[in-house]
Amino acid sequence: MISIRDKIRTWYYIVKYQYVFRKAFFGKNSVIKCKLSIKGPGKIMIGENCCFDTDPWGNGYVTLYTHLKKARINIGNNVTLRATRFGSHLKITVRDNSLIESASVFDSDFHNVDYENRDKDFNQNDRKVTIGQGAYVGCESLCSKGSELGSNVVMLPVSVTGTKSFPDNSKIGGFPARILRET
Amino acid sequence: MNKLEKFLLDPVTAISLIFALIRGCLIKLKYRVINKNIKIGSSLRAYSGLIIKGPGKVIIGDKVSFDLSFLRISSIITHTENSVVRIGNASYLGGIRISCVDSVTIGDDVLMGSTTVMDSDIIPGRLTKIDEQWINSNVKAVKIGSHVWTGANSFVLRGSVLHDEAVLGSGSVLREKEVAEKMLMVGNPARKISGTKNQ
Repeated sequence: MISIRDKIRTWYYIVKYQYVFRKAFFGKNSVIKCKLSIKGPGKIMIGENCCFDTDPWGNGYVTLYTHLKKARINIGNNVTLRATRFGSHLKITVRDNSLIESASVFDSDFHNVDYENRDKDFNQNDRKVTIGQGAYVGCESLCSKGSELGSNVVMLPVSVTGTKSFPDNSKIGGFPARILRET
Repeated sequence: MNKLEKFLLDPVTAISLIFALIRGCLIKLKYRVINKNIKIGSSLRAYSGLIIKGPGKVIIGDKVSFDLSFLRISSIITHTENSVVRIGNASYLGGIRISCVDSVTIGDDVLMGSTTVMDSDIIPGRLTKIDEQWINSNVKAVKIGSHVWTGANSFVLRGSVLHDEAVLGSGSVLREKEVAEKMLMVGNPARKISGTKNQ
């Protein structure tokens, strides 16, 4: 089912980021169908059977950026990422079987509010982000710092989580996100 | 006014229109060869490319123009064989993105700038099985009337209805709501602001 172009692309990115730069560690059978960009000093762990894809309309690419040496991005098994943007200072965890559309996942504010220290102490108030098992994050939405999605949460498109946590099996949406239906 | 006089008055738009018509002819020819489910009307004006994917039906009317907007190429994706996308005559769609499971209907003389139209909460991926239960819980058809204007970066999500001459502001998100005739709605989630006629 995987085309030759995708196979070559997968080999290229695994050799580039796992063996040459030593930034990311890929599990078995992961497929990369789009451009992938990994930057920064942190470490990235990717599970088995993952799929990196463009967004459904065929543009955009996956970016996994870490800004500090302690930063970690852990991605579980069977995860599909469609043109997702990650920015990490501390820790981002994506559990198994989840699907993330062309959304942004950040675990930091990145800059200080004060003008004079804007670029100096930027590792204040970082909070971990977890995305639970089988969760779905809709397109153009934002998982901001401290957000915790339980398992099987459906996050509607164009919604923004604050620093909140959401229970299992709920449907959330809006700006800021609130629970629309709990089952 | 004569056609030649029009050409001499504004040659740049005239030449770009000619190029768009030529590109439209090529796109029409391409999809006639590749996919029988895609039907495109006469004089398609493609100022940029047009991407149509999937097994469903796509019916595009006459004199429809597709344009580039925010560097987005307009693209239409259908997910099942029963899904139908209908686009009326003489509408201008700049950088539109349509994802269709059940049905998306767009009327005549519509102006849409870089709008995302989806009729399902979840865009089906490689692991989702599309059966009746999934469709009942996640999908609802989208209807857009004629003479509608939706602003840049707006989202028309599942179950939303825009009646004739309605306006949706830029950056707003509409989901499971109706916009009445000649009304303006704005925000996330969208709410009523005013009518479209000055009185």
